[in-house]
Amino acid sequence: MTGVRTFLAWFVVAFCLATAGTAGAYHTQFVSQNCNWASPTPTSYITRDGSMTVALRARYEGYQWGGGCWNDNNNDDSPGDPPATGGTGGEGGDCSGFTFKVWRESLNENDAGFYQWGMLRFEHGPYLAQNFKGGAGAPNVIAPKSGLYQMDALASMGHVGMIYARNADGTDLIIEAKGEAYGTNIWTRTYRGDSSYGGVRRTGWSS
Amino acid sequence: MVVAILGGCAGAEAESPALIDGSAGREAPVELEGVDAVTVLTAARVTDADAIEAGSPAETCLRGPFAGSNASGAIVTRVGVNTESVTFRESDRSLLGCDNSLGSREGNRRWCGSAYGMLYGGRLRDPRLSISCVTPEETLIGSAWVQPSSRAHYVVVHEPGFAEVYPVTGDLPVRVATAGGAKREGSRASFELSEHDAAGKLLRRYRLDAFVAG
Repeated sequence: MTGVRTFLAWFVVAFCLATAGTAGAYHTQFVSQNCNWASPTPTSYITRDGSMTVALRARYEGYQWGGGCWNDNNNDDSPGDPPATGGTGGEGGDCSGFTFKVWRESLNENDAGFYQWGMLRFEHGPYLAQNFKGGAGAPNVIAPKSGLYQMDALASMGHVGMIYARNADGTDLIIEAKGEAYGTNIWTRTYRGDSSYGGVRRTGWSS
Repeated sequence: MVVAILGGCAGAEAESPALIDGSAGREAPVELEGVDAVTVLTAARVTDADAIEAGSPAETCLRGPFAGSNASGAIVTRVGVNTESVTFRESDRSLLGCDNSLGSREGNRRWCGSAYGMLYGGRLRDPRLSISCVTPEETLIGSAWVQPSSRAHYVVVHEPGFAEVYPVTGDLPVRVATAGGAKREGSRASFELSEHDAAGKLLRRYRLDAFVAG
């Protein structure tokens, strides 16, 4: 009997320790220690090559649900954030926030102009993945998947990623903020052949 | 002068604001504990997915932002002070919603905002904030789903000058809105909320900080 009690006591202690990290109060210091609210710089143009460069700075960085701030040290500085929990202060964008910043979009959905956001500016932007899929916002339009170019995007109701390159077999290299366990990177994806994904284009590319 | 002001105050009774469809705002049917501001009850209508009327808000939501989606079960349409919304499930895996306001929007679309959320064990992990709608004065509106506690009969959003009361119905999360707590910078909104039982007793009061995400 004493053995059972001891086991239960240790079990309770172990359970509490194991679950302590998932409490609602989880918060990393990445955003508070690194990020800013600097205004974006309006630009007169946007190029696909330039946006690719912007996107590559986020490669190997983290993923943060509702986030929008990252550095360029090729490391997730806040691994293991709780999934689907906004405001936990971790590094990285999520899929739609990453697309918003790479596409140099405005916080005003009626504004199709170009705004260069700093990596460390904490900003997600107003669009959800499904908004991109629907071509919502003045800068964004639905585009046929067969005619998508580099840095156009493929979006579903719950995800959006930009085309880094097209593979010979019809798949694409997609640059995307994929999830907390994956971070932001380039992967081969079959979104183009997936009926739940549609094509979306940021308008106004110079080249 | 002082007497005149006092006299004016004593005789004044605040009226509930009107709803966006022009109908007169009605106060909550019960006294809500801890709610001092004038209340306005949102109009909530529940229809079945098998009985959607042509031209109804539910039908235009399904035809617009969620073309190709199939609603199942109850569809809840709400008309409030600043917004109108539709909420429905698609199977038991996802929750979909449309938001409307009297403000401007892109291309004169029927719905200025929409939201989609995955359900895990029947619950959302995130309130699926949308900040795509504005009032006629261009004040940003935040719309999000609240998952009230099982005893809650009313969800109240405490807005500047009034308290908007949402009846819990249709066994669906409640799509609430704030025109006072949404911000473009940071793409976020804060909702000051309380939940009450059928008699108006306060169950909990809390603040929901929501972020545009995913």
